[in-house]
Amino acid sequence: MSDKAISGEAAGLNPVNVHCPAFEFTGEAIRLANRPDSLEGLTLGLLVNRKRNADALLEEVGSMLKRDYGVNSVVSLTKASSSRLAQRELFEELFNDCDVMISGVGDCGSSASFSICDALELERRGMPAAALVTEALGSNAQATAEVRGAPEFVFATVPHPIASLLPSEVRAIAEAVTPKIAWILLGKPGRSKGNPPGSGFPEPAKSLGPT
Amino acid sequence: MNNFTSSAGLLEFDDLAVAQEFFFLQEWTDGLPIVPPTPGKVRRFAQLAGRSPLDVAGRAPISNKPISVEMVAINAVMAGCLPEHFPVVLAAVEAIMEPEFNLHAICMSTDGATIFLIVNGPIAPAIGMNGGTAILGPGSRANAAIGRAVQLLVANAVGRMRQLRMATLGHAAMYTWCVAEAEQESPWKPFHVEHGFGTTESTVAAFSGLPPIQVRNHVQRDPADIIRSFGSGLLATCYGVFGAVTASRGLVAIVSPEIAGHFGAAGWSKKRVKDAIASIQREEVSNWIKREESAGRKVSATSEPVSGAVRTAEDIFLIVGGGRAGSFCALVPLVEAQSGGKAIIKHIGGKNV
Repeated sequence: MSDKAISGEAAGLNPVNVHCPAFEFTGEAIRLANRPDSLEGLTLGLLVNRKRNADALLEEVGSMLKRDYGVNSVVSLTKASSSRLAQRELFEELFNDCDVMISGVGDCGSSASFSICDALELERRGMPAAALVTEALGSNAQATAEVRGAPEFVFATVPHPIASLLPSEVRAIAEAVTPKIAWILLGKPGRSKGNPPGSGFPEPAKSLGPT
Repeated sequence: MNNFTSSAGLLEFDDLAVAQEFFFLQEWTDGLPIVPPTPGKVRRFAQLAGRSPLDVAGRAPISNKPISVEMVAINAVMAGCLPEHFPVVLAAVEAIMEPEFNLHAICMSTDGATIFLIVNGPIAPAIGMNGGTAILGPGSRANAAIGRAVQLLVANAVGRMRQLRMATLGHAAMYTWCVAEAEQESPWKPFHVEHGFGTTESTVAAFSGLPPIQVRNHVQRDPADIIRSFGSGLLATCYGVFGAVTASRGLVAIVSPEIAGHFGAAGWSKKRVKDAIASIQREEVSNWIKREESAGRKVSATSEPVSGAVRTAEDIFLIVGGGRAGSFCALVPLVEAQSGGKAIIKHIGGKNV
């Protein structure tokens, strides 16, 4: 066989240009909100997505943030559908009446993705927001934040599933995740002694589950 | 992984085979080989559809980035479309971009519902679509490529689908699900005419469907008896009935020509058929609840609607399709209601329509 025969063309190589079928990596970047120094005296908004035990879990976390972190009052709002973004009026109410918020609980594909988007909608407006999803949806939540333009957004996770939990179990999970939610809202560890004051977001883990 | 420059830029490869492997590596395919989208092919698609490649066809879920006609064409070439398939693909993209369709939720839901397209009008036979034997199966290049084009476009426009898609089980129709109605076999007006379009218009309707439940009745001819015999299948479409008895989401019924023939011979209108289907389904759900409660198991109402369950006959969409032999019906539960019984249907435009 001649040299030419084993060169590119004869070997079947034909250089070709093709289009890329996807977008570049991220959407428009979302600048996360500045964090308060403390939760004392603040009003906490809960954006509940109607999934089973979401209301119970978020309300327990709200009570614990009052008890342990000095939150003054809790406003609980329920959105129309777990598989859509919250209605505009709810975002307005949260933004006008609250200082910080938690959205949740995302325990399936669409609800987790929308819990992240709901929280980012408030972050975009300048309000610190925490999102709560179950561990099984962690990759979806992380990818949603990245595609939405907020790769640095930190969310909290709880064990999956929550729909079948008893009230006592909901309370136990709330105890475990409340410090992580406080950390997300403050951008640093909460009141517990021994933790040096920090700034920015916890590194390197993107999701904070119960330890 | 996604370290390329821009969607407007071209990627250079030594060879089409190398391009093919790169597309797999980037997770731009559905797991099957694609047709590498070369510029000439992509340009021709937009031209034949009478659109500028820079026109905006919709916005991507989550990122909200504008999806150009060019991007749709790129994914249509990849899927194996011919240029004459492209106007259907564009109209389908327009349909799934409607807020009511809720594409964002469909992409990620654990339910695993996926995009189900129904084409009507003269374009269907013109481009070789199948509405007959194995309507839900392989064989027609148009059926396969058009459905696949829409799936690839959504996956690539959203991006990170490997992380975002949460369908617990999913179903095979996530590769492709596009059919034509067997209009010639129907005793009624075609689906698009029923929904206000002209007979000579071509349209595509988009639904968010779960795997179909197949029912059959080879023995009876009376429409009431036939529909009653579908009761267990109709109950099965309400898979969320365990604990929920609230609002509806709807159903698409694909009725085979044999069964449609019985309905037509008895003089039943499509409305009468749909009323009967809704009534039997409600009866089955009600009986199920009674059985559960008499066994001491509480059936509590939740806020999550029951998939597949209908409030009224308007939540049922019905087409005739399938082979001439066989008395079967496919019941497709929908996860997103198309409110007030209004289907999301788009006119198919383009030069050759």
